[in-house]
Amino acid sequence: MMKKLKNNKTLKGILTIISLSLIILVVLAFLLSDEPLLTLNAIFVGPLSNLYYFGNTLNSMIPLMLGGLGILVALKCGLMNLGGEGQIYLGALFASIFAYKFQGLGYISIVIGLIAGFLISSLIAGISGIFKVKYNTSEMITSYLISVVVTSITNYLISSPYKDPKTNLVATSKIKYMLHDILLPSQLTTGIIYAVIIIIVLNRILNHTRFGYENRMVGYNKEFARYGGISINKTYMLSMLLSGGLHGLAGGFAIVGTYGTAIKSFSSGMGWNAIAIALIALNNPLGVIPAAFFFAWINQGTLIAMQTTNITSDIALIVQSCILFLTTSVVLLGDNK
Amino acid sequence: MNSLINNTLSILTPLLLISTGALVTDLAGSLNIALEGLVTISALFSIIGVSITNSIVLGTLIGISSSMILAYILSTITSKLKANIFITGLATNLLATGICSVTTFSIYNTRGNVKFENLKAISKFSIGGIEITLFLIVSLILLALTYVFLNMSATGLRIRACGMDPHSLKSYGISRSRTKLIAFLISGFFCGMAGSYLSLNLGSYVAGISSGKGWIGLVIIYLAGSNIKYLLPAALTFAVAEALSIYYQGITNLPPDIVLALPSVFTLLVMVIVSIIVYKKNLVQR
Repeated sequence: MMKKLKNNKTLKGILTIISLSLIILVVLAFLLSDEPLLTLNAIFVGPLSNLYYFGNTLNSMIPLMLGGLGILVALKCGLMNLGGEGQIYLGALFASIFAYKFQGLGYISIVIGLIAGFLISSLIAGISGIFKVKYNTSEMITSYLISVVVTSITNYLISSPYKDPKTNLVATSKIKYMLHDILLPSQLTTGIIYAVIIIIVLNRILNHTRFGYENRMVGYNKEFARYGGISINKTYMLSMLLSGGLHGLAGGFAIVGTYGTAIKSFSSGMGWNAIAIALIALNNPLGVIPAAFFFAWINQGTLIAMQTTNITSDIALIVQSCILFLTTSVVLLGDNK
Repeated sequence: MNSLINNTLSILTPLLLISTGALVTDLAGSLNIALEGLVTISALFSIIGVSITNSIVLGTLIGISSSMILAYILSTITSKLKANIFITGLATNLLATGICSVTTFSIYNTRGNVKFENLKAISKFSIGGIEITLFLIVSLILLALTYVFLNMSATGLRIRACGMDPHSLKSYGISRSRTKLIAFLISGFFCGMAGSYLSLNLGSYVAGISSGKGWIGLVIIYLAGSNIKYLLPAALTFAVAEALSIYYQGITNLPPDIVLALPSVFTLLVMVIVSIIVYKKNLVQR
């Protein structure tokens, strides 16, 4: 009974947050646009108005869902991985390099690229994990700082050693084998199916395996977990590695699904959005699907609004920040630990 | 050599301001993640303020107010809605970026970068070739005043008590959220000043003008062990390191992307080394 009541409160809280953020969008449109109704139409109806926009909306959900999942895994054991930006970007670069190198192997090159992205980003997040475990250095600040460094290095790698001389873009060589398109002419690929499968598998892992249990227990109460014989250091490390790896996959899927090449700073902002998505998902792995859909809708809608009316798509930033302001509110949502 | 010192001082000024403000919130028991956002919003509004009022003082005041308003919003939402200060801090950074790019878009029709012609320059005077700005002097005076404030005024002591043991404040009938609000407003004031300095010194506003200075501010506090006495040497360490990296950029041909990463590499190294030292010290004490 108590649980039901709490869930009811949580649901009401989420509805409050979503409606508040939509109200803010309406207010912004009336403040900033010459044709507010046209702008609002583009934002709210635009992403659903035809298959092209709808497919693109679904497509932009893929990295958001996987990145959000990465944040969520770490969050569950009480860690904060702030390095998502760099991890997604570097994962994407590695995926593009490896998929290109092994394209003689046909479609297997896609898998190789994804694995390379997963491994490198999990390594990057693992560095923060090691310092947390060994010296209790705040993983939040180290992961952020490492991410800044990684972003600069990736920028350098894309613009110099790995730049494809054949294009005018600052980008790596285009890979030959990519995931199949569905819902043409949009950019949507089968990647969304794989992403949903990954989410379902991870939901299973987090809720029904020993690792998931230990991860959760360490998050609930570290000391209690220690008394129960759970190795906190091991759990922290595994959680951080998985978190980074999922960010790497987010970048990897963007490459083998959407872009085919790592373009300079193409993933900028994805890491921060992933944090917001993990928080709206309220610690539930399956929750990242609707959360990512909501974000992707607003992003796509403001992009369409920018093309059709005189408004900048950056109003999405303001709406997203309002959501972030409210998502951890105990008053609105109850304690969702 | 002179240019190295000048660069150091010009980098030191915002770092010192930001870390002084952040120290006050840190002592009040909240990690202020929103420093970046507070700096950014003031950087934009103070330069717009100067271009409208044609007065450095008024423009700076406008910038400082904008950042204090943002700090007020952050603190009030966090305490009234019982939200996680860390996430609301991230939200503040995002909000500041959003407000700045929407403002520049609707006034100047650019997404982020605004250059102002014939802007009033901030006053400098030089002693033996070393340029000293009014901002630097003010920030040093403010550092001394903050020392006095934290150690001798009732409000300052309450702020420190709030960080050490919030329950004791409650037993004295002092509101914890109000004390934190004061700390955040002070932090907003300092970040606002740092933001004004950044854009007015540059003569233009560019997107990402704070370029990680807020995060460096947090690490400075960490390096200083949250003790205001060590704040100036800690901030100076970072300023010298960044000035040196600019200096070496001139004489080597490292790619610019890599040079941009150097301050963060240095910050990271300091962070890790200090945490190892603290860890070893605690080990001995145990």
